[in-house]
Amino acid sequence: MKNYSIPAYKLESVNIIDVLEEKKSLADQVGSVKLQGNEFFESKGLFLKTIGTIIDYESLDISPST
Amino acid sequence: MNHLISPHLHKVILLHVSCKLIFGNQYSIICDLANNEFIRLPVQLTKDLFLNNHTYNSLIESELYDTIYLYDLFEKLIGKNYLNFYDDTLLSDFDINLLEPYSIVNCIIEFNIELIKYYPKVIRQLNKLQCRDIQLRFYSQVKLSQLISFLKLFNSSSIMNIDIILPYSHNVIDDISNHLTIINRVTRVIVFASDRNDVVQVKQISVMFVIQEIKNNKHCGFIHPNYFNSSFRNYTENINYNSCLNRKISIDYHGMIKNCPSLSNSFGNIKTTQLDDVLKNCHFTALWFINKDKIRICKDCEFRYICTDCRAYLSEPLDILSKPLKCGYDPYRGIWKDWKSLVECLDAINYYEL
Repeated sequence: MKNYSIPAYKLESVNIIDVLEEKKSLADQVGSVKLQGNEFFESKGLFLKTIGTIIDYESLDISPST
Repeated sequence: MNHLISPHLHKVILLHVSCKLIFGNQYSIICDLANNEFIRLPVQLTKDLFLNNHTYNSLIESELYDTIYLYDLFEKLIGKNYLNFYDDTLLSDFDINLLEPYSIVNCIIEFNIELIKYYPKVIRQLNKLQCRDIQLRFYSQVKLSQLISFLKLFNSSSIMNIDIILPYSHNVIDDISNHLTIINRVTRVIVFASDRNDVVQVKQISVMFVIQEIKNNKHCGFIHPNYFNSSFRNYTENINYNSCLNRKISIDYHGMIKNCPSLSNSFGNIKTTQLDDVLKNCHFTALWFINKDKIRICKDCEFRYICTDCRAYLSEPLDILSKPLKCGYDPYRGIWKDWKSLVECLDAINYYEL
């Protein structure tokens, strides 16, 4: 068996997914509950798309206990 | 050997029809349009897996990847229902053209009490255009009675969803609970300048409290994974059209009709101009057709068909085809950074006085 030519997917992809998870956890409360909101919208067939990206998730200072 | 894999070692590995590959410069994503999910993998790995009609056995024999890693990956992809094994490579595909009846899908209105007598006419016009979703922005305190009166204008309209953005006040949650929940069209309220970041569900309304100040339309255009949407509708729209501006119309604080309140170009004022006349203006609709494949840097990004866009705040302000300023993702390295900290963004930040 050769050494695989690019780093194993596990090292790359899982890390990348972790990065995205981490980005989501930056906005832990808002992010996670936002998904609940989306589920609601989808289950009701409501919002078709994002109307304006006005929330700056990058700068949210989320307290885990909120 | 996984019982899902072992019977199919000699069959061709194909993604489900509802799972689409999007290739970026370094990474690719498999987009599950049916479940609004995606997974991200290096470009070369994705090509090896899905573009060469490999079977599981032929992949193992190719010795490109370690067996254990391949096994783990397949287990994950099968578990997520992303792929299956087929006897041949002929799978039907779906039409990526987005067909919807709405002339306008959504509208942003920046509320100004001085324009209140013109709003009924605007809403009648939006109704005529079959507008479906609306975002009402209140940058300063609004009396509850004024808000309720305004919302009543949407009764019997085509508007199905109303998104409200307003500043925090001590009785805001009571106002929402007691008054806004009665209006079924109101589905989300963003309360800015709050004392905390939090989300609560009050009947049909998702109420988002954010500490962030939203004083004017400069507070828009953020690109962030939380805005990603890999639904079938979003994907088919984003392939063909601009993911923010397609079939959007906006009324800014001064009553000017625009593609987006943050853009400087306007196409008349609601006092004198009909919305459907604006739609006939090719300069207005031109922005609808700037999809991500036409935008520099974005066209090399694996997220381009699930991402949002912004043509108001650009990394190169005089170049309408430059990357959104408020995006910190580098598709050539596959990493996110805070866009405000990037040296290459400083000139544009100063230009827009952000």
